[in-house]
Amino acid sequence: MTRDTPIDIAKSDVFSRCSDVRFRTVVDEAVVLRQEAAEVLVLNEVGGRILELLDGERSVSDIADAVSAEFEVDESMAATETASFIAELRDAGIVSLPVESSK
Amino acid sequence: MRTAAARASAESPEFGERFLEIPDLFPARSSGEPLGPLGVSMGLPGGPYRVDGLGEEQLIWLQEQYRGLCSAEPESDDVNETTIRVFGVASEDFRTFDLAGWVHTLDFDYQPHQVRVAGLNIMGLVELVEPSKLVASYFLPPLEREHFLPAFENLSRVVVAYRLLQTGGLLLHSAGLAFNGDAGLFVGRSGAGKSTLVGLATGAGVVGLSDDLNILQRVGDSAITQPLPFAGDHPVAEELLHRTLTVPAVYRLEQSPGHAIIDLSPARALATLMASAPSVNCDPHRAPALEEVAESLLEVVAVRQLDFAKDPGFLELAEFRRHDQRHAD
Repeated sequence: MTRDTPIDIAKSDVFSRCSDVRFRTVVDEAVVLRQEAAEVLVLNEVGGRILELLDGERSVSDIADAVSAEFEVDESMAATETASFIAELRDAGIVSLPVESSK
Repeated sequence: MRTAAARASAESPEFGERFLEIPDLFPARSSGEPLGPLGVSMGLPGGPYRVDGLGEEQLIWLQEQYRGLCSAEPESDDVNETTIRVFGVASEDFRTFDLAGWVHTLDFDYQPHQVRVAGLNIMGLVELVEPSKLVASYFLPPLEREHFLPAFENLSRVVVAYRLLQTGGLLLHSAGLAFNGDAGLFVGRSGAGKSTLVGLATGAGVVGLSDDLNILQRVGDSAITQPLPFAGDHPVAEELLHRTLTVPAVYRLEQSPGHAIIDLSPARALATLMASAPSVNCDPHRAPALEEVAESLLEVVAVRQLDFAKDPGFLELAEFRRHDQRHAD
């Protein structure tokens, strides 16, 4: 989870999975199929859980709280890492902001 | 019309816009004027396939190109026989453009019960009539042999991919090597070394299959492949086209300074198969079937990572030595 650019998403942003994205959990990883690009990605357990929570209802902050609680991660670290990961998912075309909540 | 189409393209490309003068006139159903009255049966994987609507020239070209896979037998009694109907359309239906540096691509329009395909001088309609029945229509302008055969093959690759999915198999973008009665399939992103691997292995005496497309199908408790005539840069020997080879493992190629085989997690194995199944892995309506078929295949085939240094040393790995008759006593 390292990025070359600053994380440009807000805690209040509410992302959802793009319409061409399907994912399923296999053992403790998530297989993500992005059909428009014929890409298939594998996420670890935490990444898969974050993607599952990106349902268009929960904010970035809500998801970070859930990650902190479920995986017993320090709140500050969970907030940073979750936001960074969501930014990566956005850059990869896996999640997006609904038009009305984008900045 | 062109101005409107160009504007639409700049915003969001519509199906067929790159290849067709008027995409809205894409044939809605499998009908039209056949190229001719002739037909041929083809023994492609997932078959039988029956190709109808051919003229005399096209029939000869197909028989020359696909040799032993073609037979003049009449339509079979197999209710699940895949039918391909070939219709003629006007050259003016297709856009012309500079082909310098152009790479063959296709436009797809995925619908619940059909898939529309458009490309250079081709329109195709794949109708998934029932879960186990497929009817395809090829709409082709008058073409010389050098253009007809690539057009036919490009559409047939799509048809075989869908037909295999119906029958519990996958068309994999992969390289293949035949060892002693077995085959290994090697998948990987562009540039991973698939063609290099086949070239190195055949140079060392191993029999190469396609370096582009191979099938993987479940038969009982085994996974098998049947060499395809769509062979890429390494044409498959004709005698191999009728053989069925067991596939113990599929390998995901990763460039590396050395050679090694690494087990993949179940999720990575599933992702590897799904990512390597062209055409169907972009189709939202077939995604559940793709997952189901890939999971079923994983019950009978191992999917591993092959760290590949782009030299023939990989053939010395125990995994390949035990299958390779060059090392047999």
